[in-house]
Amino acid sequence: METVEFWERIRIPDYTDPEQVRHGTIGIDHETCQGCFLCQAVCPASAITRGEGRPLFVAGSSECIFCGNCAAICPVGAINLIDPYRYRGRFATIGHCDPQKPRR
Amino acid sequence: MSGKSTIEDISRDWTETERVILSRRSVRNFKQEQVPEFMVRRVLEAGRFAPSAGNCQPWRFVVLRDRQLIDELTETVVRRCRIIRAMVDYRRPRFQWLRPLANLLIRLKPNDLHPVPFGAISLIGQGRLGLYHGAPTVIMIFKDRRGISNPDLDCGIAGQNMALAAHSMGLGTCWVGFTKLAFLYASRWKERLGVRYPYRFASSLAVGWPVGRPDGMVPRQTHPVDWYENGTQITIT
Repeated sequence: METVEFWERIRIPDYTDPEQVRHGTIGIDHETCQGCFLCQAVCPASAITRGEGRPLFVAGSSECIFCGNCAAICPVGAINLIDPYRYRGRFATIGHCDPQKPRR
Repeated sequence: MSGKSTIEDISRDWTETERVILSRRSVRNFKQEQVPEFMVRRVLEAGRFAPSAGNCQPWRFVVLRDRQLIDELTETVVRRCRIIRAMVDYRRPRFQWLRPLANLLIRLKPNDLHPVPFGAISLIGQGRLGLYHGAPTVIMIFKDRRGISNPDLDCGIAGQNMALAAHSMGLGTCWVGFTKLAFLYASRWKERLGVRYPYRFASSLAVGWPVGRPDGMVPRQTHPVDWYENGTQITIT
């Protein structure tokens, strides 16, 4: 099993440093997007904002938790879940591998 | 499961129950329209039939369907979030000096001040993130803290039974743990809802009709699983 080493375990990460607290990343395809803003309404992290007629996701300045609500509610499938969150130090993300859809 | 499915049927497609589990999303945009009372009663039944340690059933459910009460509760929690944000959010420009205090509090309450709830508290305090997201019904779960072994876990199991039952009826739910801020530091809400020993807040569920169609199977991180069989061990993901 994975572990978090002692010195990592006792370190509280700097919440302003994207190296230590890296939030999730999604991609919005503005070609496909119809501007319904449902994704913005269901985002638990206010990570999607209103641009001009289109929702905006600014990687690095949002606090995406990679829940997938935006991708699930998008009526035209314009949202891709790109990169999961990763935290360091006390909250080190361990035992997380690449995202996959439900497998049978 | 109906007695008719063969193992082959199951291997070909998801079962009804799996579909409910895999397509359930935490709903954060509810219609104003109230949920029929019978549905809430059925959801509570799903909670009642949850497994618990030694069948001790260490839960007490409280249903809020008064718009005004839900709004007032929200207001209390938002106010508490605003205070916490003022104390700990050192990410704001010119508030770097808060970091030593914030780090101390994070060390004392690491589960509550993990980067995710830290950000969420800040957003709720600023009014940029809702609490119950307009849900017309809130089910609160209180634990009997004398419960066998781990009453929080039993409350979680009962709650998830309710979330899945609700989803199977087309309702949306969202777990809202921040409700606990209304019960910490002051007794007003405990008195208002008659919460007394041995009950203590465990969690709450917002319940309502979702706006749009939020359900769907989306990608989710996989996790390593150690598998022991026939004297060997492999790790699958």
